[in-house]
Amino acid sequence: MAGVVYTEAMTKADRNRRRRRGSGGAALLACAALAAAPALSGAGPEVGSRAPHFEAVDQHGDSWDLQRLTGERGLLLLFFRSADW
Amino acid sequence: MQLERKRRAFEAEGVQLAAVSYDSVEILSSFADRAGIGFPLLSDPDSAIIRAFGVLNEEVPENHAFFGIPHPVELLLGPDGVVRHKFHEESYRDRFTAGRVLVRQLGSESGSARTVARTSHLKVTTWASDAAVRGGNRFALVVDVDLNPKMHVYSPEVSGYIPIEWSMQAAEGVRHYEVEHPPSRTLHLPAIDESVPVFENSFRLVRDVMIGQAGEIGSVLEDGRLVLRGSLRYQACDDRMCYLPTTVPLEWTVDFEEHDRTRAPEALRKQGD
Repeated sequence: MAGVVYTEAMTKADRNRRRRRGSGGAALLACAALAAAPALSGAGPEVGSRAPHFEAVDQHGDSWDLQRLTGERGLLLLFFRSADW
Repeated sequence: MQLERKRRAFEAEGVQLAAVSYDSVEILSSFADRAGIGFPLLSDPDSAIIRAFGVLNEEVPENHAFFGIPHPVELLLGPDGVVRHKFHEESYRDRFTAGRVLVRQLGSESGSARTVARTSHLKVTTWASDAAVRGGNRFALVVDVDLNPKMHVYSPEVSGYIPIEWSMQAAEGVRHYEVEHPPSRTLHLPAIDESVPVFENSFRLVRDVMIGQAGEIGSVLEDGRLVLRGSLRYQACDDRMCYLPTTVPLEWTVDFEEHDRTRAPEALRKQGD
């Protein structure tokens, strides 16, 4: 049940964020296919499920999406705390 | 970042690397320069990707500078974007090493230097998934066994014979995990009309080990190197006879490194930090 609540909260937050940004062309726009991966609190997508699509900018300002990041045998994707502390 | 040193090994396996954090592009750029990172560090300042993947750390209060950080999750995705493996550490200090992923999930042969021991029945080659580790790392120890021609040893599920057994010396701050054995082959012995599960030719045993921080693992640190010891016990037989049970001492030595504690220039840091 908690997973459902979390997903809804996330959708709302996402909507707000997009509204705040407007059309000003923020460097990063992460369009997440929220339905694709169950958003379990902190645990991440299940093995066997599809990772949500996203786009992001890297340290050089270059844009990437999931497909372009992925090699012919796959992608090791890390979530890390911060590069700063 | 320890991962950068393994980048070429991942690329050789056809797997690319990317890392996501809530840092600004400027902080990531500064970090990538300092640490010599050559793979994409993706900026997720609103934690939108972090939320989409369901890895937001919700224990951090919203008004805190650290709000928006993810749990330390690593995903190995297939070329189709499907999650093949997930590594979720309990704490930021505990990390599955990149070398472990290479060896255990991708079948890579990269890792530490090899140590070879021989007996009259077999050759044992020991190595670790990483040439250098840090406190909190969980990495893999490997034992490659090459049996002499016609020789076999017994797999762990055997009864009535002595199975191959890989033991580790207990040490403070060091946790050993279960040994992963390859599938055994059933060997029929016509002389005594018996079928037994065996390993033949060449096979690999792998197990994880997790080490504590520097202050917790004093007994296995020798001159800045981590030395782990164990043994392999087996009984070998060929098509004519069985030999006396044998125990081979095993040793793994890898460099032990301190954590990197350098930071971004103050002006780039998040406010309130």
